[in-house]
Amino acid sequence: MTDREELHLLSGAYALNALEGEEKKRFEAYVLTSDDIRAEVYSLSDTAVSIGLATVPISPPVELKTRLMAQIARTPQLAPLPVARPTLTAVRTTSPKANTQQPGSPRAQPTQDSAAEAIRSASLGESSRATTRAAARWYTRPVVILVAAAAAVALFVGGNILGLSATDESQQQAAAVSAIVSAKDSQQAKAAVAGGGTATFVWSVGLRQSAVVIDKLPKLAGGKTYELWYIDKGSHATPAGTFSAASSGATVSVLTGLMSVGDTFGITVEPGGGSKKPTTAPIVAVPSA
Amino acid sequence: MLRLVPRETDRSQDLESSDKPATKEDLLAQIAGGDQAAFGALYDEVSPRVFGLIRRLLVDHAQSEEVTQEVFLEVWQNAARYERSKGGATTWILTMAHRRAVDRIRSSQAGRDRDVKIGIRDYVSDYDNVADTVETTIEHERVKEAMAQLTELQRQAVSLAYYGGYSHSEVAAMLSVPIGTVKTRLRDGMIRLRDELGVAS
Repeated sequence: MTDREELHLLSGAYALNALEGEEKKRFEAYVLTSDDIRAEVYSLSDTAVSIGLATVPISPPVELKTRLMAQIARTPQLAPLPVARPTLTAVRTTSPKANTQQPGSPRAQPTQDSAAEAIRSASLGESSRATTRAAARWYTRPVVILVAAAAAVALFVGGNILGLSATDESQQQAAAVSAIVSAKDSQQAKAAVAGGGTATFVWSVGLRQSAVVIDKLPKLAGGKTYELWYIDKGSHATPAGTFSAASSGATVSVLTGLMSVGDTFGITVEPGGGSKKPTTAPIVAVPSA
Repeated sequence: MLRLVPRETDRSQDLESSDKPATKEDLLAQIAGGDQAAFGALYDEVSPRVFGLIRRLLVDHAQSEEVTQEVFLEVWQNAARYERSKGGATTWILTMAHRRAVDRIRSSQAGRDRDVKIGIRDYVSDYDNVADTVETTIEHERVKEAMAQLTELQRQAVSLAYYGGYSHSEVAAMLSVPIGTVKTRLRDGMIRLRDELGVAS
């Protein structure tokens, strides 16, 4: 049985919230890749609700409503999903000088200390003195693609849509992505990955958190690992965790540590276990401002 | 001078649903706009279902209250993200309720381990319980009938997972069958239920 077929068999367990940890994450990544499985998951989730409707309703204590009414009065509400707000991403398409260079295109093999600089320059190009707004033009892409990326990421919000968990420790990742995408100041940008795949970074400056969703990321051979970086304006790279390519579907990774305003996100290929500083040229780098 | 008038439902909605009160979906749309009264109305309508389901899973009263509160807070925060085209308001809310109840169960794993050792409690026959209203009686009958179409193993696996909040590996341990078997039984069982209950696919 192929991996995909095996994952497909989990739809019933998923609809019943009977999946946990790594397996659940793998299934959720798989769901992103197929309309068929998505439709099946929706219908089985609805079926689960039907079973739920057969339980005996019990009126909760009156105080619960009192508490809730007081609580909502001071709780802000979340904005609609980014998918429903194309203007948020459309801003990035207005540049008249869109540069077509791939942000992650490999350059001269940098040495250990210059790799961080390479990440930064890969995203900012020669004009490192350009304003941060101008930097955003480097990864300008048609709005359609950005919105599609938003749609893919939006599935993670879907606690509501797909029934993703938000509290279990083993599902921190989905919860973290959900929190980032749900944040009022949530932003995202997409870029091609040198060597294959497309990376969509999502971040919230307010939360100081970011995550990346990569489509079709190749598996690494020889014990190598992908490593994430926050690169500050001074080209100093801070490790933000390692990850490997998902066995199928989209690879999702939440960056560890805290991002700062103006940071650039980067990914390099490192020896197993990761490095303290980048040792190779970045395969993708995306500025956050 | 200002006078209080009864809240009017949306006019376009009126054309379709004559003079019915606002649907739960309408209420969610109003809640998305920050309408606290609409939230109160929706709570009154749905909370017995939510609380009933959560109590079924958690048993503990205090914890069930806490989780119910979490669910409705989530409804308030996420109302703008509810999409009518993806399903009814009750479906949306009960999906959250089940997920949060299961999260709570998993976060107190010690209690679960003990449960698994004790074995299958009364989850399996929950749909057999007598309902107390006409509406729930009808739903009970539908689910009971649909459940009757499943094989014994499918029925036990689905019931343990849904009403017990057990993971598939826990279900496998409790029923003494391989995990792979549980996975396929859960899927086959849910697909059968979907078809029996006429849930659109």
